[in-house]
Amino acid sequence: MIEPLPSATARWEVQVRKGVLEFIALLHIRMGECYGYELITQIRKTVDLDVTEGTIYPLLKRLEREGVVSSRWVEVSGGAARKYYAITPHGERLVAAMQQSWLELSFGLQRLMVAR
Amino acid sequence: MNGPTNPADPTLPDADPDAEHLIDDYMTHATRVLRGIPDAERADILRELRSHLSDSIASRDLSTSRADRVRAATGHLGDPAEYLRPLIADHLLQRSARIATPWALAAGLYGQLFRGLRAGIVSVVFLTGYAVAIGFIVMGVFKVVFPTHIGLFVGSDGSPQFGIVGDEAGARELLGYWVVPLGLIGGAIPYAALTMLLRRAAAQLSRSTTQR
Repeated sequence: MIEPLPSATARWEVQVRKGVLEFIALLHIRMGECYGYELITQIRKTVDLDVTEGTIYPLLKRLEREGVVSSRWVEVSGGAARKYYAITPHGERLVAAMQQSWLELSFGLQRLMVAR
Repeated sequence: MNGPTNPADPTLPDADPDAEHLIDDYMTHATRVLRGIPDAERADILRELRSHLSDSIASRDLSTSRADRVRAATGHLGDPAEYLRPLIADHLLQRSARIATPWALAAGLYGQLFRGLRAGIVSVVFLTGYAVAIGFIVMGVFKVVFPTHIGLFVGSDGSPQFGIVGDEAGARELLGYWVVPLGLIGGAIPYAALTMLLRRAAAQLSRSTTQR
């Protein structure tokens, strides 16, 4: 049985967005230090991503372990402390490489899409 | 009816007993989920989750009760058993590759089995490899205890059998106590080689599965 078009498109979109979650997160962190809640809120605004907010934490832990981002706890006056993430020099190079790769892929896809 | 709020920190326990119970239950659950993680890392993650809840609760509609806002915040954050699974599986895998004891390896590789096709296949290959390596070591160790049941046997009909075998009339063992060094070396070398490979594979698996 053929899958209805809206369902097939929605499933494909979810996979694409999940696949680029790391890239999107790094692009946001590169724009400026941010904490987990702020980051996932920004990501959800950028891409309509249907994932639970907690999904961001295993990703941030791994990026920190790999030296792509660094973190520091910042006390908030009268509130709970926040853990801020910042891009490292290694992370900057990684994002630049990801960006180049994405542009090449995007350019290739655009050529392919208009070729029909 | 709306519960009292503490705008400075909505997770502070002076606002609404029901809401505080909900937060405590959530954090207790998260603590339980993280029980295998080293203390310092666990404390850091829990502190971050509490901070997340604090911000999330503060961002909710203040016209609703505090307990409802906590429910919304924990619902959006998700079930720790689900979203922390990649983190725990990564930790177990890194730990297993580091200490390389059979139990740690079994736990670390089992945690990867259901994390997608690639991780599943890699885990099965490693588990099989370790099982064979451990099998050789077991043979080397127990040859001394069961000399007539472990080794390379040729049956009365000429068919060869290698490993741990039962009593068979007319079977002849060919290797004798050479099985001891052969089993130990033949098991230890693949065990060490697999562990070196696992250390490399662990980082790649982590990279490919925290994006899922």
